[in-house]
Amino acid sequence: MERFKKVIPLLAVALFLVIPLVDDNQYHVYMLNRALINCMVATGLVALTGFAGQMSLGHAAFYGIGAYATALLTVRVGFPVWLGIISAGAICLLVGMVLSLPSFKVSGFYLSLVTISFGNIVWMLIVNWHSLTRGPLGFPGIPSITLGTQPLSRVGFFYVSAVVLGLMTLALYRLSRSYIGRGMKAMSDDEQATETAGIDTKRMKVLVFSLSALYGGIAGGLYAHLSNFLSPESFVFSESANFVAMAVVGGLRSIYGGVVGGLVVTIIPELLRVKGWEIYYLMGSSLAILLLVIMLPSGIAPAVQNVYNRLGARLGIGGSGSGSNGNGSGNGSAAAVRGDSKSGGR
Amino acid sequence: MSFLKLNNLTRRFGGLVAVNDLSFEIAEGKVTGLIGPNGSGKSTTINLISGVLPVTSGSVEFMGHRITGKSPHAISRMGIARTYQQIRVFESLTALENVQVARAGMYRSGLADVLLNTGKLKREESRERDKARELLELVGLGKKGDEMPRNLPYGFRRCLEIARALALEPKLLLLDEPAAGMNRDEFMAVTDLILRLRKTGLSVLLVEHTMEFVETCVDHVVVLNFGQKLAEGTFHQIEQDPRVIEAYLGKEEL
Repeated sequence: MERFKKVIPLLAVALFLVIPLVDDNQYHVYMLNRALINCMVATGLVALTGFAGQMSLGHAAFYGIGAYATALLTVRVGFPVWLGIISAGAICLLVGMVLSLPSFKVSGFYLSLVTISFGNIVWMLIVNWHSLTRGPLGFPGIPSITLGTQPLSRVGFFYVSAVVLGLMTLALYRLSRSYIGRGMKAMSDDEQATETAGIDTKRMKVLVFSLSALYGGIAGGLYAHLSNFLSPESFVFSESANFVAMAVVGGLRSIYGGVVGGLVVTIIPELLRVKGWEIYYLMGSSLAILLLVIMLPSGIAPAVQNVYNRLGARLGIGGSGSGSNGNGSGNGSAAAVRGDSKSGGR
Repeated sequence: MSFLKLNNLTRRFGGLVAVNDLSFEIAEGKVTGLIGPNGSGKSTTINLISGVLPVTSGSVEFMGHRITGKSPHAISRMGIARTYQQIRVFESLTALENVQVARAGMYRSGLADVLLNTGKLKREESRERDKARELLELVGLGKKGDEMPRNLPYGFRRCLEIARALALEPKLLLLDEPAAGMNRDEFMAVTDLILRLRKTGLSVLLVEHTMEFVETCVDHVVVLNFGQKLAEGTFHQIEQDPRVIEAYLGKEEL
């Protein structure tokens, strides 16, 4: 029965994965690739903010550091692309470790301010360090990912990104079900009580900041090789806010929140590009995000999971997961996180 | 070597001296009560021992080791567990997970084991889940493992917090007003739990206002007043000590 319950989500994923094969509009595929990349950053934020309770409004910085790192390493040093992306991730991981240090002292709004400043510093460096980044002129000529000797097509890129995102989500899923993930959630509830429960919260923060930065860095690296050109405006503060919007819309405390939010928030503006109304599409998409946050405060992913579990209960499938979710309907987020650990098959 | 020893412990908050040159020892395997009027520094003492507040001066020694200045998690892992005056359970975790959190130190699996979901991790997770269930059973929450803490009555939430503290397998348990705000049934349940823990030989230091609780559960009493030790002894010695009576009731003017 538990198996049967997993069929529909798997089917949805499979359906999504065949889109680039049936839709040969290159712009659509490009936007899907952008969406997958955004999903990676948002998934990193779900780990950091949703699970561990550490606010970041500076994630565009990791995205930017990752992008420029692989651009420089591949163009100027001659790294192969794959090594460039991995190095981008590793560099961001180290930067993330450093950024975790302020979180030992501050949290909440104060930590948001720290991360905003961090984001601004990185952005100013990108804009002003001409010899390295060419500043506002942009960084051209970044190689595409190659498969053998052939550059990877956009469809190919889609599958590479999907696999990377899948691995990231799997890692977060396993983490969240483990003693480490429980410690993170505990820390987000009550840091002092977590300490006195024998958990080194500083170590936990270093871990989750590095993980989140790693996700952002790899996403940035992939973006550099997708667009072949980098410009500072892709890494401004509003992009950081946008990543937070993705995580919140998708479900800050759900493992799949980053994936769902990244897709929805990237695709919505594209759907609103109606002929004759182009000037309104960004306003429209902001309004859509606003409405989603008000109507589904714990996010789309947990809401869908709740509906699905209830339908499952009514149809008499997958009893255990849906049964205990019934009483948690008032709080989708907690119920969804709990639902995950259940459907994982205890 | 004494079990737990406070040496000239002092804590100031600005101009207020909450704990003032306090020294006392507690014995292993006994339940020690820390009593005193409001504001006499009982909770501060607990906070200083558990490391959640830094000391201004003085030190705490636990089984021959100086623990002053260590971080709370290190002190917890050395065997000093605690509960809080205002119950602090993890609201987004189930009751069982609340207890499991405190078992983190028992794992040999690392991050790599988690990411690769190794057999070692699975064995440890299942072992620790069983252990957590046992602890819930012990505090009378055996059937409540899947409940969210907010759905539990007040007394059960307190028991859950105690179960989480016990999950550290502590040598010393610090309880800050464990019976405060409880109705009669809850009060009896917590009293019974502490008496059962005492039988297992666990050392306990508890702050409590309810004299009935102190009388039933405690082997030895330390009385604080204005951050200093006023008296110590058995409950019956303390009960008749004129200084203690004066501290609680005031002096009779003739």
